[in-house]
Amino acid sequence: MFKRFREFAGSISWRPLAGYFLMLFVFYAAVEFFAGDRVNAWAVVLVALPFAIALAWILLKRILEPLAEISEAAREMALGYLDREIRIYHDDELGVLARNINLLGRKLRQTIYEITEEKDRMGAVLNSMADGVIAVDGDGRVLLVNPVVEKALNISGEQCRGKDIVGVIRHLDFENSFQTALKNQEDLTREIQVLTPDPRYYRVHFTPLKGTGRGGVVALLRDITERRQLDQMRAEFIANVSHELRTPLTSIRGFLETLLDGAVEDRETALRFLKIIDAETGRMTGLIGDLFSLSNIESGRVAPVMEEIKMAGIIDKVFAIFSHAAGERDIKLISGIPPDFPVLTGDTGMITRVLINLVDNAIKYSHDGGEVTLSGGPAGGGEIFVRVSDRGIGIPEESLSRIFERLYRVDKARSREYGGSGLGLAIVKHILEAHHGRIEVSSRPGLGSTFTVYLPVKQI
Amino acid sequence: MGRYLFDKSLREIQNDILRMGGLVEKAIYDSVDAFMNQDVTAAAGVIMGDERIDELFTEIEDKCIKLIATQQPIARDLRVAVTGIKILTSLERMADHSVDIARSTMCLAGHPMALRPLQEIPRMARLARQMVKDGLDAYVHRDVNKAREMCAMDDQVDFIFSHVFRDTISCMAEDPGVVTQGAYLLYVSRYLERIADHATNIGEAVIYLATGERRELN
Repeated sequence: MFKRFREFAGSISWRPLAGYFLMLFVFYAAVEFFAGDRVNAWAVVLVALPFAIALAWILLKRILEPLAEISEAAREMALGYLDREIRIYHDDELGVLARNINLLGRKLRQTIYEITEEKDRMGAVLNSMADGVIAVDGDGRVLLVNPVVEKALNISGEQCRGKDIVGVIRHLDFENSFQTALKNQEDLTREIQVLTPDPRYYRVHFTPLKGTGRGGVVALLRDITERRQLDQMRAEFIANVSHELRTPLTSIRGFLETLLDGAVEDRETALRFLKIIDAETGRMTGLIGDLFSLSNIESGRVAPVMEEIKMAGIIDKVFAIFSHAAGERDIKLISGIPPDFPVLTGDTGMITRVLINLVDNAIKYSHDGGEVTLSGGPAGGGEIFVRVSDRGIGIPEESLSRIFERLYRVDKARSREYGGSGLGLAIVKHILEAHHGRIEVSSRPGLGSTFTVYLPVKQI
Repeated sequence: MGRYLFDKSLREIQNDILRMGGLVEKAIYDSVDAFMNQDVTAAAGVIMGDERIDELFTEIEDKCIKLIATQQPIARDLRVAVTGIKILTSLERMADHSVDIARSTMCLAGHPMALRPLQEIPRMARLARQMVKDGLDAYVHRDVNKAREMCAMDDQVDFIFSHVFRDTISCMAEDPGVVTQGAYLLYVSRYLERIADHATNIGEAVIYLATGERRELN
């Protein structure tokens, strides 16, 4: 009991206590003033004191304690502990106040939860976007960048926040487009090259932010580097095909005109010219044939006919085709295919074509008196490999990744001298893709090249 | 002019420097790209673009000088204004070297280059561009660590440069027919090496700006 009283006493501050004693004093003074000597002052005190104490007790219990709790609860809420509930169930005004404060806490809790949820959701959307997002406010300061932009420009979003736009993307076009979009309040699309430091191309869509106080612009960055490269490859391909077709055509026309102008009378000259025309027509037919088979394989119009393939038989056939050409230049053809080479499934015609193209190249780019070696065997993982190596001129490192492109030539002048359509390796690559296989190349300029074909033993 | 206006003009100067930085980065890229592809039109574009960079240079330098003269900034503020001028000068020198590279491209027009060390130029140019980019990023964010890392890359550039130098000399010794090409190749690699050196100057300026310390980093 005494302990509890001490607790209460501890929780009472000096101001209400002083108030009670002041009240007591005023009461005593009033009694003295009006009643004078008629009443014993000590009796008055004796009667008034228990009343005063009882009044103070009621005041403490009913008003001061609940007020202290409410004020403590409000303080905790302000500090962010919104789970706090006030347990006061009186029916008076204080009870109503407590209930309202509880309601306020609950509502705040719910609103904050909803806002956080919303923010997380927006954050997740921004983070999982494939396009880059940069939001800039009306003063040109960055509000946020998403991870795509952080990664592309190698910057951190935290560092960028509040920085001027030119500090994030140092690009005059970007800044100007942003200013234009802000000023005209209109959407804007631009293609922009960003040095990161390797050049990347972005199609940037600027949209003015509507409904915010200070305005701003959101820029959406789509990486179009690869598409630009593809466009460029396509343009190069068309240019190359036109060139490859025009060269023989020009020479055919030239010789035909000479023939028509009278050279046809001289039998010997006419025959020589016709032979050249025949060779050039052959080149054009070859090129068009290659283009056609490439487009057939690539588009999947001609599917490989799966049958059992005996590699030794194919290699004999290929060597037979090239024995004359190789013999003329004293190039040795060596086959190192083991007799127990697995029997594959695949399209015999197409696989023969692969080896013909590879051996043809190997001979073409060998020095006189060189050698072309074929080897093969199991490669593990249910695959076999066939390797064609030469000791010829080799391929420079920067061309290695491009030699399988259509009509790509390492050395434009020299290749035409060797003949060939420039489509051989592209055809090889596509045939192997149709067979779920692949080709790898390694080369050292001046030392020779090695092409390795990998094919699965069983086709699925 | 109060503190607010002073900060605003400092911010404006920094943004101008970054704008010029963007142009210089592009000039370096374009000049090397033109050199590798023997693209005379692109090289001419770089040379013409340098006028704009020079204009920006004098304009921003004037702003810096005016700020120092009228505001008499002290301590950090003074460092901001002074490093601004230092970084500007480095950028302007880099732009001039890009123009030099573009001029070499023009001089070599019509003579395809087939020297072995030519392969190293793109790698060297990439490193140099990375250094310029990191230097300007470090300037934006006052990032001392990034500035230090960037300056460390200068050793790689120097290494490639000495490599290219030796290789080109031996190529020229083997075949006197390639002496002209070799000379231009030496020039271009030297310009790139100088660009990387100017980038380390930016790094040093950033460290001075952020810490007040002077460091020799190359």
